[in-house]
Amino acid sequence: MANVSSSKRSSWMEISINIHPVAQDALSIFLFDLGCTGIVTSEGEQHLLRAYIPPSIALDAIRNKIHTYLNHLREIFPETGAPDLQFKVIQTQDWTREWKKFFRPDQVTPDLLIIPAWEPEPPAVKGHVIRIDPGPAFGTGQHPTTRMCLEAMENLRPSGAWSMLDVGTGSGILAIYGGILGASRVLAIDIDPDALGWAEHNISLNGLLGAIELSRSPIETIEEAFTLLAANLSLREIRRLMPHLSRLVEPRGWLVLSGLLKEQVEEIRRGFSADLTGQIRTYYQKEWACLVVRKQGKGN
Amino acid sequence: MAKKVIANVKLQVKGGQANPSPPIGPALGQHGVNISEFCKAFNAKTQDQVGTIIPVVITIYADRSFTFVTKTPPASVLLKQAAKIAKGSGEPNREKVGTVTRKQVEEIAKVKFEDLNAYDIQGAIKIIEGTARSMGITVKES
Repeated sequence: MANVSSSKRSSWMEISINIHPVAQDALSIFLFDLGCTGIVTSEGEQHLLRAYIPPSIALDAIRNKIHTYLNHLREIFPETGAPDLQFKVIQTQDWTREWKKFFRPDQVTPDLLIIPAWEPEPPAVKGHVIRIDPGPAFGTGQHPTTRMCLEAMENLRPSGAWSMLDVGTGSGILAIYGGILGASRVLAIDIDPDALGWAEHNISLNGLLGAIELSRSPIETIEEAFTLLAANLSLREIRRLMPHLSRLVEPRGWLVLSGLLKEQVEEIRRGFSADLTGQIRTYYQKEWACLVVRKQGKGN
Repeated sequence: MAKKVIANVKLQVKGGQANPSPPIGPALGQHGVNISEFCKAFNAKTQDQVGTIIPVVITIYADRSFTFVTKTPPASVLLKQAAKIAKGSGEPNREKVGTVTRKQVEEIAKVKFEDLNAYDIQGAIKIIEGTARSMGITVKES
C-alpha cells in the first residue's frame, strides 16, 4: 500500500482497488457510504475500482474501515483473494486543460463568433466576437443550450434602453452578449463564487468591466424588473425560478429559458402565470429546447 | 463514416450532482472532453434521480465529442431501498443491518439482469444474494 500522510489534506484521495467482479457492486456502495463522490470502473479479469474521497474526509477515519470491510468480503467470497489496495493523492488541477486544446473559433449564430481567449482574432470577422476562457464554468457557446440562448437574444435584440438579468451566468457568455447587443444595464448572478470569478475574467477579456454587474444575490432578493431575463439552467432550477419569473420581467419584456430537454418544455409552459402565456417561441437543437416567452402588458 | 472512438469511460456518480471535481474531472479531462458540457447533460437527464448513484458509460470520439448512456442504479442501491436502510454494513459477516425478501431479490435480479454477468435469471438471483450478503442484508424466504 502506498504511504500516504494521514494529516489534514487539501487534496483529493484516489483509492484504487482490484477486486473480483462478484464483489464489485457491494464494494462500490460501501465506498459511497464512506463519502466517496464517484467511482471509475475498468473491467478485466479483476475489476479495478477507483474511488475519489474529497479533502473534507479524514483518511484515518476510513482507512481501517476499508481494510475491515475487505477482510469481510474475503470471508464471504473466498474466490476474491486478497484485493490490491492503493491510496494516491490527487493534486487539484484545471481538469479542463486538455479540452482547451480542442476549443476552436466557432460561428455560433449568424452574427456571433466565439473565439478562445488565447487565440488571435481571425481577420475579416463579420458581426460580433466574444472571447471566452472557459475554465470550470459552463458556457463556451458550443453547447446547444447556450447557442439557442445566444440566437434568441440576437433575434429579440430589444430596441431603446433595455436591461438584462442573466440567472446562473457561469462563464458570463450570455451577459457579455447582452452588453454587446446594447443593454444599458446587465446584472449577472450565480450562486457559485468560482463561476463569478471566471465570468469577471471573461467580461474583462471582452472590455465590458463596469458595464456588467456580477452578484451572488439569491433570486428572491432581487426586486428590479428587467427587459430580458435569460436563464440557461436545468429543469429543477427553472422550477425553483417559476414563482419569481413574472415579477423579474418588465411588461412586454422577454424570458429566455434554456437547459431544458425537449420533453421538459410542456411542464414549464403549464407552470407559467397568466401574464406569461402570450407569444411563445421554442428553439430546438439536438435533444435540447429553449423557450422564449413575452410577458403581456403595456410597453414597447 | 462512423466517428472514431478513442475511449469508453465507465463511471458511477450521483444523479443531478455531476460537477468538474473528481471523478468526472480527471476521468474525462484526460481525454479532452468538455467537462462542463457533460455535467450539464448528465444533470439534466438525471434530474429526477438526484442523489441516487447512477452508472454511466461515456463514449468519447476523436473530435472530443461524446455520447453517454445511463443505466439503472446498481443492485446494491436497489437492495438498500428494498431493505429501507441508509447504509450497508461495514462488517457484513458479523453485523446485519437489514432484511429483504426473496421476492424482492428476484425483482432486483430482473431489473438488473442485462447488466449482470449471468446466463439466466437464477444466476442473476445468486449474484444479487451475494451482494446482499456482502452488505449485511439478510434474505428471508417470504
